[in-house]
Amino acid sequence: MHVVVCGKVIPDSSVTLQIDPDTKRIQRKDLPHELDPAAASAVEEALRLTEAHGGTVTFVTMGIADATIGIRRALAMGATAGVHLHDEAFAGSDTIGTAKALAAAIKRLPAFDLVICGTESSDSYSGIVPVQLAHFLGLPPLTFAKQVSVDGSTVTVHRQSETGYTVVKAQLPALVSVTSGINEPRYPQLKGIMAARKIEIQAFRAGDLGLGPSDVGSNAARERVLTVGAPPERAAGRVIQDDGDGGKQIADFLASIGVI
Amino acid sequence: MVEAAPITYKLDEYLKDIVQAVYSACAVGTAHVKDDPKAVDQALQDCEEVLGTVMEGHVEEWLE
Repeated sequence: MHVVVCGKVIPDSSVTLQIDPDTKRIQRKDLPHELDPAAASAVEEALRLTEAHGGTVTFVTMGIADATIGIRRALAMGATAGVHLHDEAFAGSDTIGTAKALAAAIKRLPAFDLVICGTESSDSYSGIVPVQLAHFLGLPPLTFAKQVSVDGSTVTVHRQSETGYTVVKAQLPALVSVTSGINEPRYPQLKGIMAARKIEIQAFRAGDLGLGPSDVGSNAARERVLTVGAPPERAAGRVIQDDGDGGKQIADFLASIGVI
Repeated sequence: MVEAAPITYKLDEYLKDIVQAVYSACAVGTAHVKDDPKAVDQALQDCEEVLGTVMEGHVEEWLE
């Protein structure tokens, strides 16, 4: 089977993100980047499926030049091919533009059986791209999967819910978005690192995908971020001294704010 | 101003991968100290393999 994984390469988690006050976008230039942990979980799930059933994994991402660091990481984990959508024309794309570009690239790859995404990226958390991508590819979206299995031409997922999970099935090809807790992504081993360095990353520009300014980029974006601000400072907590009636004081306090 | 040697970029990329691999192996190993001794052993072996390769110092092979 051929599994395509779509994921993001994001600023390293050790970096404090800054927002450009004019564009309201995350400032990514000159920051160290890494494979989004959500994308790493998606790669891991794809690798487990292809190890069980045979096949290949292609990792696809859209991003700045430094995104190759994350692509190399996915390849070092065991993905067989990497695709990089890299073009200034993509800058400022909203989620629909991003999904449109990813879909156009995936349609140019060898036939696939399954597309796997993280539920949401760990930098912007929109969580919308997977279902938009499914729409543009004409696939059934199976979201919030905390377990994925394939049997013949059927994919089955345990879909996380507030009270437990729902079992959902679909015929392949399909798109699955996985939760971050679905697995513990493997770390690249030396052999994988060396093998990854020999794999040529396939690059697509917007024009290669038949996309123009009305499809991708800031001019095509229908979403606009109007304001970005720091959350309000939290008020200091209240310390209760337990002089034998601590429990009552806590209960009284909770009652006073309507929690109990 | 000091000019960067032609191999600097490739070497930098290689060492970045190596450091990340050791860091990841350490992170997994320490996370499983109490619950998965096999994972810890594997992580230690992987660290040893990576660091052993660096210590051998065959730089030309790293850049192939």
